[in-house]
Amino acid sequence: MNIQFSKYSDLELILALKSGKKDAELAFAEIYSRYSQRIYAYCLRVTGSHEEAKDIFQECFLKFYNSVNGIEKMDNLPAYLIKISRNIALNLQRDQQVNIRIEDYNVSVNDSGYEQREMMDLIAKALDLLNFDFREAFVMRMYQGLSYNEISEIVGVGADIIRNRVWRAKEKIKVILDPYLKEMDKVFDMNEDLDKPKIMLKK
Amino acid sequence: MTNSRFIHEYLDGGLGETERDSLFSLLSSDRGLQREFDSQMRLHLIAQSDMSAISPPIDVTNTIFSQLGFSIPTTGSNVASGNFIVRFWSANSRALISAIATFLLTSLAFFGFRAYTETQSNIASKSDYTGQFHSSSLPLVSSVLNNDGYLSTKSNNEYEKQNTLSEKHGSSGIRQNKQRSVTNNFTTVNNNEDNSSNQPAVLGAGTDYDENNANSTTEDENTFLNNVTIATFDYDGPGSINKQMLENSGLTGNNYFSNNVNNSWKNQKNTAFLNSSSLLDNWSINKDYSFTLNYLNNNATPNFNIPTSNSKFQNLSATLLYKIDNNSSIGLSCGRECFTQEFALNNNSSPSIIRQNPLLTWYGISYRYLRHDLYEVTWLNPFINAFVGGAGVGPFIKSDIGINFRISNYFALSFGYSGSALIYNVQGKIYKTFKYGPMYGINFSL
Repeated sequence: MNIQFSKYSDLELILALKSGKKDAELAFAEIYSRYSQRIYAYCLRVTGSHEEAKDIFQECFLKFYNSVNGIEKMDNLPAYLIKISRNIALNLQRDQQVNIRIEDYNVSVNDSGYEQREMMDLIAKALDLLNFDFREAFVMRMYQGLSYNEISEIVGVGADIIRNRVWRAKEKIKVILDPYLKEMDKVFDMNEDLDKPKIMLKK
Repeated sequence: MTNSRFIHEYLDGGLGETERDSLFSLLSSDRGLQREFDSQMRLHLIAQSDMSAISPPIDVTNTIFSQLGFSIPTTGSNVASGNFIVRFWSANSRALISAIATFLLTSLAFFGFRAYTETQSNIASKSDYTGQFHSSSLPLVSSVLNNDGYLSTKSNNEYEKQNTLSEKHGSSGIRQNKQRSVTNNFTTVNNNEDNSSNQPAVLGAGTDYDENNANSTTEDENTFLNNVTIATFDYDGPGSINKQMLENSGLTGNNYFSNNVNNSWKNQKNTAFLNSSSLLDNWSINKDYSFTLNYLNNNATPNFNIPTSNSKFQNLSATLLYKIDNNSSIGLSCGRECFTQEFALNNNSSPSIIRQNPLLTWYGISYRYLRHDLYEVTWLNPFINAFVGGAGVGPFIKSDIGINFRISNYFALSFGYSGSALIYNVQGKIYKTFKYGPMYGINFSL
């Protein structure tokens, strides 16, 4: 990676991208280096499918490069890239309407001890069961760390609506993960009991 | 707004100060709310940590860059994924190079010492050493001497007592040179002569040695003496001197002396030569300090059937390590283990070959490289250790390689293989003892 380009702001990189071939290549590589992981994570969590995520991700960066000449102002490049990804994902979703009822989804409880990895997978699976609007709000807020205003700009609805969608998405995920979380609560209770004095345990 | 929503808003950064205080007040008394808080907090933390675990596949990266007519980038964590080998190398190259470099350096030091000492430590042809055993000095050999030149942990008073007891049974063969007697903390050797032949044994040629007494030892007295000694020498007669190591009675350290290299060595009770050592090892996750206790039962070169000490505190090592980065730790280590020694001793024109198996204490500096995330199996942590230090009689180096099985964030079991080299000097000649074998231990993270 070119050290000089790594110091550039996003806007400077876009300007470099518009210039000559050599600079464009280095600038694109720098942008890719900065945001590819984030965008791919968004694609994967929103679609729940590696194959779809790859398609969306690839198309996103190609579209970005092709549209760069039209960009005059860039305040938030990652949000812009997410917006491109979102549009592609929505188009893809229109072609693939698959609905799964939450009640059909059984979360298996595994007490193997690898809580974090296991819960990451469970949350990812739970996301698949959410409505796209809730899912993307949750992913943008919880995974991407975008502000409600940024999400509002990308999605095109009010920040309060996004705030509500994130909350509701979280509640739904909690319902889906309920068996797992109950197991965790048992551990929580056990730990708490251990800390209690004996007289409390006799109650 | 429900309490659950309150918690969500708090974690989401959208709660005012007053609302936050009231939430904390509720949390302090409501157990159900505490559980709710715990669940939501877990969701938040996991969602955030999930990001770092995802990276775009390299085939997609290649496609994008090739479609745009760009050369494919080769650096950057997020673009260096791809097939298994490429991904593995990308993720672990630094660790692998460090591990290989550590292993090569310690191996180089180990075998370098070995090669160096082999050129200098050839004990002269054993046939050259048929003289009597003289012991006026055994420098640098882990122990100091009593008057007879036999290594001893006993004080002079103890020896005197023993002599008295021996003499009651009409036995001697043990002499104290009070002028030169030294208390030894490591080893004890008592000679006992069972002269079953007509000719007297020639042993322990101290200045006040009494051959007649030495010849009068009986089997019963051997038994008696074995209760208080570690090593006993039996002499079957001139030209065919045998020495035997008998079991000791709880004293530390063993020494074995051979006056005649043509002797056959009898090891009556201790058929297994157990030796051990250990280095540090250990591991920790997100802990600055770790403490390790290790045990290992390994082989030594030279290898004699000399019983090891009965001490409970042997074949153990203790290590305190401080984490200097995510994978590396450095610290102090010490341990106690037996090292067989074989060396030639020239004294008063009477050369001897001496063999012994003293219990030594070693100490020094340890370095450990441990991977926490190899193959994404977090509870299985390969490690490599390097140690440089001393064992009182000379420099001591050690290297371990193995695996930690993490039981919890504070405790792990380790299994591995260890090799070490002890270098020592006797009368200007360099000798060495090599040890190797499996090791195992426990690790505590502090």
